[in-house]
Amino acid sequence: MTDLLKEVHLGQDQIDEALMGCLADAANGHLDACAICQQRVTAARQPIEDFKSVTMAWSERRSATMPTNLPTRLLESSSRQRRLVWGAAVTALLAVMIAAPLELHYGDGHAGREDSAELGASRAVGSTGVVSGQQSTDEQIARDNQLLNEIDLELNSSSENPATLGLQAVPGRRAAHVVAISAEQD
Amino acid sequence: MNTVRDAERTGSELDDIEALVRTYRARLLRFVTFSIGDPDLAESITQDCFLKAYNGRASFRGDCSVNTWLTSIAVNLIRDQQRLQKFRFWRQARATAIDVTEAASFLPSNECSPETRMLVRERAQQVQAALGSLSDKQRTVFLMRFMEEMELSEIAAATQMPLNTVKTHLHRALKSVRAQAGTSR
Repeated sequence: MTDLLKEVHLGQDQIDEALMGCLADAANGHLDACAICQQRVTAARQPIEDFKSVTMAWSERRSATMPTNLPTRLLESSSRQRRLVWGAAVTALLAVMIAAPLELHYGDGHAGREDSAELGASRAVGSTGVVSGQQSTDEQIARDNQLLNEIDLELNSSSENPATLGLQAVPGRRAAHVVAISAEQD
Repeated sequence: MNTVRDAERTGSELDDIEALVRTYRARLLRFVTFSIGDPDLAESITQDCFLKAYNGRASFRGDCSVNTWLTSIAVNLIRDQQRLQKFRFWRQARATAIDVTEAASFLPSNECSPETRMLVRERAQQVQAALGSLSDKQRTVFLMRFMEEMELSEIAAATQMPLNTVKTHLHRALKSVRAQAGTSR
């Protein structure tokens, strides 16, 4: 049987199978015992081995020219991407948190002006806090100025005015509370 | 080669990305480069491959070598690129193709005579030319088997092809390469 196998050498397909690593057992037995077939398989493998060694030499050289800080850059880019995603998510959340109360506030104030004159007057102070492009009209500015003037008058006429307490301005002194302290000391 | 063998089947090495890149980058770069025929794009895909491997290292079960796992990731990345048609393949990418003649000059000069080097260069060129004439699947299984030394079952798993289909592609690829490299007689 062994002599018979030795006489019938491997065919081209069987040499391919030997290279692929899936040669049948019987043919494998022949290959183990036949120097001619071993030589043929080696010869068939040689160009592939040459290609392998040449391309590996090329790849090692090419790989050596690639950035040496590759791992750091990879990780940095990865963490940067993660930071960007988280940043975008937090920004979106903050935008919603800010926009929702403003929307409620704006809607509430807008309705208040339509309800009645009394309610409109009482909410005038609140509505000045919301300044949009549409609201920043001359009328709005005039209303704000009037409101500021009223506040100024109210402050000037209050009992905490130093003049109402009998305090006088000291030449060369600017701060009212300093004047008050000196008056108390006197 | 021994370095790679010694490092195989150890998932913990995935935690050290610097060592991972140092050990496998050249092999992976070669596989990707000769899969797509564009060395510049191959560098980019190789980097993506390491990034994907590092970020997904928890999914490595250790049932294959790290090299096989990395090659499988590279195959998927290459396939994604093919689907997106972001680049042109072998036949269209001649302008940036790898010059194996130049590559042969990188072989250590003390290992062989000038005549042998010339012979090696010629044979390597023939195989490279043959690779260019293969289909994508034939080229992939050929490179996996003969460059990465993967088992047929590993190739089947990595390419998600039945084992017999892998054998058929590999057989055709080998026949074509041997015919063009002049060893089919």
